[in-house]
Amino acid sequence: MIEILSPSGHASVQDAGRFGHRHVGIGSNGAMDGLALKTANLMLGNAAEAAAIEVPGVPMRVRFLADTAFALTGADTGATLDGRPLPRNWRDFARAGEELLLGHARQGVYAILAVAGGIAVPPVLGSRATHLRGVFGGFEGRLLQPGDRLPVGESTAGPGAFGVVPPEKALPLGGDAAEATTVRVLPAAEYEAFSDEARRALWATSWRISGQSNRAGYRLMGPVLTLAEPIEMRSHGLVPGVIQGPAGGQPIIQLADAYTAGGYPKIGVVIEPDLWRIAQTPLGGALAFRRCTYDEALAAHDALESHLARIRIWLATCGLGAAA
Amino acid sequence: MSAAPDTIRIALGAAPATDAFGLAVRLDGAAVLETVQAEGPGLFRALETPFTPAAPVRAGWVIGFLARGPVRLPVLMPCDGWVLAAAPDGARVGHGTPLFRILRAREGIIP
Amino acid sequence: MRRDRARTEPHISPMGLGAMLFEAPGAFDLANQRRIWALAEAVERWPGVVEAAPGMTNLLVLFRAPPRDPARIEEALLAAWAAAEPRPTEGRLFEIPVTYGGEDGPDLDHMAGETGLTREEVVALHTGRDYTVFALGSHPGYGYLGVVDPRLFIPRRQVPRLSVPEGSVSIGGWQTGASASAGPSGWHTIGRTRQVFFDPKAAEPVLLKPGDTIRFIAEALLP
Repeated sequence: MIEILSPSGHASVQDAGRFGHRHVGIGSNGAMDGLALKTANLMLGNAAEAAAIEVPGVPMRVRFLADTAFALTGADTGATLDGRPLPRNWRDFARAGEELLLGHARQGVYAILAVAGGIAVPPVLGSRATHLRGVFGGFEGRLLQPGDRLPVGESTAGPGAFGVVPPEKALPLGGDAAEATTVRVLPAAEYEAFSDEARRALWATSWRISGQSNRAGYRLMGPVLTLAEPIEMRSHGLVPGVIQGPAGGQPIIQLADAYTAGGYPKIGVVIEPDLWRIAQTPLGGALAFRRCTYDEALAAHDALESHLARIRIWLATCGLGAAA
Repeated sequence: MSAAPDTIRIALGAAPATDAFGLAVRLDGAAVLETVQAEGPGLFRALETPFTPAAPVRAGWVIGFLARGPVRLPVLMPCDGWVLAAAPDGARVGHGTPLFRILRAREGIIP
Repeated sequence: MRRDRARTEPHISPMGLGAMLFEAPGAFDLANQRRIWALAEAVERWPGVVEAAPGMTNLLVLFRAPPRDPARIEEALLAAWAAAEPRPTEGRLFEIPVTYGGEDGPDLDHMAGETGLTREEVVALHTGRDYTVFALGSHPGYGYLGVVDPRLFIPRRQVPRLSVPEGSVSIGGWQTGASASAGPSGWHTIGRTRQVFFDPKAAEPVLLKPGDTIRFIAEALLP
């Protein structure tokens, strides 16, 4: 068991997502940084769908009520275990009674705290991801509060301590805008319906993530994206990564908790292998969109899968991972 | 030197005799200079925020990494003390290669 | 690509790497939607498809892994569409009591103004026809209903409301619906119902199915 000591109302239990129910309006939810979750589960020898605690950049204190192998990935929070500083992207071992302290994220935003055996809350509709709007999944369908005790699944993982290379080093994606996070974007169905100005602005702007942003979507500050002519859209299914250009409004990137359908025109879609980069860009930070082809998007997907495969192979070579 | 018993004076920089880390350390007997060596082959990787000589480090803390592919094995501080210098980030090392020059603190010096 | 609703060919586009959107040509009507339901049933049986989620005369196909050859999938979708027979509507009828206007219908006045109708006329037109559940989506258990009386057609809100309560009854373009939980809305909210549309603890968490019929009943019209 893990006991939450603080904070109140920020962290939630998430897994890789709830799929197959979009047709009844249930979206995927799940970790904002799916790569961080997969990495943590790999380091612990967990199943890929094991659930973890997602911490959105705020300080957090938890107490381990039993000896537990755990991993911390995603944002750099300057974490300490019983006062001992932990490197980022790290797996370690807590003795019963020890406290883990995460500070404010000093690089990135979302941290993943995973445990060997996974957070063993009951799955709902096939997943342990928290559906905040529907109040189900995760831990009682809500954000975590002090006093919450989260069950931990069975595991034979031992006291290994090691880390893996941070993703921005393993999967660099340089950009022209030094301070902006670059992500690759495929044009969406209504791309051509936007004005020339809008399409130029999409690629050229350093978009700032506004404070009116959350797990459902990020509102971007920058030029208004105008259509060449008004179009009446029909409601259709959406996936995380879709960049909408509401008429006369600022663009919105739909993310993990997005509604499953909508009717605003779409100008582009951030490719799924780059969504973790958005998740780790803070509010007030900047995003730059780089147009890519479908083949380039596939290559990005393959590069990410290779990165994970490489970690899996090297963990085995070093006698770590599941056996550790 | 008439330093108080729990004060360590360190002079860093070019001096008549410098070690592999470019340090010439004069001690007043309050601490012991040691080297942490690599336990095997790999690439040495520094911490993202390395410990500076001013920051006390406890035994068992991670002070750097030995990288094998994407995996980073911990290099642990062997005793309470201070990290004075490290091998260059990315250096290819083998068993026994010096990774850190540390000062072992005298018993009780770090609360 | 021009954007009027009299498009003659289906339009298929990738939505990132994990999905493709099929948009049917022709009018926003039930006949077209019945073929979308049939297409969804066929496509869901394809290997590698996680699910096919109908929208309003469109279908979002979600894949387990990124399609390596999207052109082949487009061809298959076109062929399946050509073969799609309209699925008959064998749904249930639900009568949904609604309190129109007042605090829970903040956009009723705006709708009246924009359409040139009185508030009473707006309500009468909304309750005056039965709606078919075209699709479920947006949030758990939410039914997209069509087709609204053309006299009620006005563009969606420029700035969506950050939150409308559970049960809010709204109109957006040709569509109408009642929300199943609190959340943002870009539609015009004209009333509210106490009917429950989604309960995650129930054996059947979602009340509505595509093909069901909804009839709104005006319980009250508040000033």
